[in-house]
Amino acid sequence: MRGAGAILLGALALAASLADCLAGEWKPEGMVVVPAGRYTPFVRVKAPNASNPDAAAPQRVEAFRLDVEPATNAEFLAFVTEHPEWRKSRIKTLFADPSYLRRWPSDLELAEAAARDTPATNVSWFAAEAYCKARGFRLPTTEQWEYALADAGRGQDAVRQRSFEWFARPNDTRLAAVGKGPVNGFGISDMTGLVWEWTLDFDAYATTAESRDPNGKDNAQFCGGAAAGVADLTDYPAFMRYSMRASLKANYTADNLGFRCAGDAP
Amino acid sequence: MGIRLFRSGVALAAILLAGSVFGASREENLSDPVVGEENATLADAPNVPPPIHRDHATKVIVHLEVRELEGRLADGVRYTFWTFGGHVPGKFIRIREGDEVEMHLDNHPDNKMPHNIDLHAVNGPGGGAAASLTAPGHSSVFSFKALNPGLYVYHCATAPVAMHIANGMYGLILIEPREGLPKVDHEYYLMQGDFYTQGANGEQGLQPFSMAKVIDEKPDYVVFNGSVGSTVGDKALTAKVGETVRLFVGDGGPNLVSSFHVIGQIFDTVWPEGNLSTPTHNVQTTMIPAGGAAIVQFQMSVPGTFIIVDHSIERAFNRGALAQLKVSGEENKLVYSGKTFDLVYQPEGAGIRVADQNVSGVPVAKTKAERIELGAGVFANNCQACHQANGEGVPDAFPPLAKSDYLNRDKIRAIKTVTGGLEAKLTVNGHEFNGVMPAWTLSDEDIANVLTYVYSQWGNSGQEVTLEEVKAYREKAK
Repeated sequence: MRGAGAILLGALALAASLADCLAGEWKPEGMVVVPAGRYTPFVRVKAPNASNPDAAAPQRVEAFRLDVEPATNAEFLAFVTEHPEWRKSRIKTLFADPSYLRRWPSDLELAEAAARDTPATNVSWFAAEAYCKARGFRLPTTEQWEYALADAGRGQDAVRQRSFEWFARPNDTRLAAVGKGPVNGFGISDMTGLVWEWTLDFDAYATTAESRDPNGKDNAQFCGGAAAGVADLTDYPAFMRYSMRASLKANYTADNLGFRCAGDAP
Repeated sequence: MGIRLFRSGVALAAILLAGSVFGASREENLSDPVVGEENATLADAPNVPPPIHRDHATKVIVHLEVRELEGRLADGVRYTFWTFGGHVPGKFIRIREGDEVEMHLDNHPDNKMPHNIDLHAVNGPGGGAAASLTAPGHSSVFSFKALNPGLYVYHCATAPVAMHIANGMYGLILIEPREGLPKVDHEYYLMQGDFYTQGANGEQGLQPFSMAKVIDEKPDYVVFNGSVGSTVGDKALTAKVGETVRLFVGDGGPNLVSSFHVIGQIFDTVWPEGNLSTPTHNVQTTMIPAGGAAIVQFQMSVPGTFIIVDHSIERAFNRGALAQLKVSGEENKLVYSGKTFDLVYQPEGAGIRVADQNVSGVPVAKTKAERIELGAGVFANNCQACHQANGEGVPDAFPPLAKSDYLNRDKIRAIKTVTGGLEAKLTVNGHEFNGVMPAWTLSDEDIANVLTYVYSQWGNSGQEVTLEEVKAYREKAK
């Protein structure tokens, strides 16, 4: 994936240079600044041991900007209109599996099952990252995404409950519109209960190919060769998020997999 | 094996063969050449794919499609099940030892979750789980050679494992020995599982999974084949007198071990833990671990409805772990006489004790309010175990007394039911029940009190049943 990403960077140089002139179209006011702070990651990249006893301690996260809502079909349509190489008929198979934008009837046409105000799904990591780059941004890191969800500890029971209610609901043929869920303390909505979301480094935390031993030290189980433990064995929705990320490759798309963009704090 | 009635040659052969050891060694199976290729025949519970008659190993292609579907957990209770093949338990897979299995795990695009599969029949990391983590809309493929004959559980092992299993992601795979299992008249597939809902047992509507309860190992439902009443009434297992029945029984868990028992039927042969090398005989209850399986086999001697339970009995009584095997055919009074006499039993000194009771004063209700108060105690001691403290009963097993059309329509019928028992099909509030309520040896006073209590509760008609009415009924019924 990294090799492909490098190829992509070249391909996107043009797109990035367009970011300024497109900024007005994609409403930078749709972002909030998430303030710096500390939080305890669910998955520790390094297991605590004698040489790094602080690995289990809360980690500092610097301030960053994050979209309030996931990207919508209307926004993604504007993107592919400007960037024909990301239309469903034109996309390179290396960059997306055959389900890419599968609910769109054609290249520039939305439908009842993929309405304007609903999250853009069936979008690969490559396409999501290209979209964010075109806006002058990027995907949030897993750490940033999880930090935004953790919301400085506010309302976490409700966050979990919303996840379980989402898990319990069979898949809808039509997703709900963005912006209908509660807004958290950072001013962000729809992080749970609507879609899964891509992160920049979704494949860096693969704890869960086979994970009944979440504190195991079997490095073969973990991408990046990093042994990992989890902060809270009773946080099933978190297991689910990390499992979902671990099951993905950068060209994969899924009906319930969307994204939002992030950027550096101003 | 002691004295036994053999009713058919088939059953005799089955029992004799059941004493032998099946299967080849791992080395033999490893070197068994794979000839040809075929698609596996899969089956949904309670059915089992047909026996394999091939005399050689082959390549077997298995497709398991994972579907996340809303379905019925109990009457009025909906649940989103995660399934291997659309039902709980997952498809029964039957292959021959030595076979090379090409396993396809197909995660339907409508699904939300990543899934994988761990087959206990596999020798390899994660039992296949390490090779099969699959995103929605994708498939994973891996192969394994069936080295060890026996009956094995398979399940999803994606984190959080307990949630995937608790939502129904388990099934059975039989690796049949090369000589095949002895021929029997019926083979059935039953799998127990525990379910954890955010609402209490019986709470209506779509119930989300409860993480807190699964961690505490306190299920709201313990069921066979994915729902309360999955295998009762019209959907009961069936057999005839003289026939031999083989049950492939698994326990998916995620947490509870099963004390597997068939009421009124001794298991002629059990292969504990699905292990074909050590059959045991004349077993009453066999323990099935979570993530384990057993094969039990028995010949039916008499007709009747045989209740299949987890004999950790509260689960059968209150949480749904109950199935039925209905057996038709001729009675055999030598094997089982039925009730031959119904006598009054008067131990020595009984009269004195009755006299004592009178002296100490059994409370007698003077008003309707007192009747209700005394009836509450009678209810708690005699009725509540089945009909529940809230009068809601247990779906598919024990009819509700709350807002019960059956009860409110006919007071005399209610007296008749309590005094004489009931064994019939009946419809209560639109649901059909087919159970047995025994006759209660309660005093007329207790019967008047308990019925008045029941009528006063849970939205019932509020009518009183008097002592005189009970006495009058008894007089008429003589």
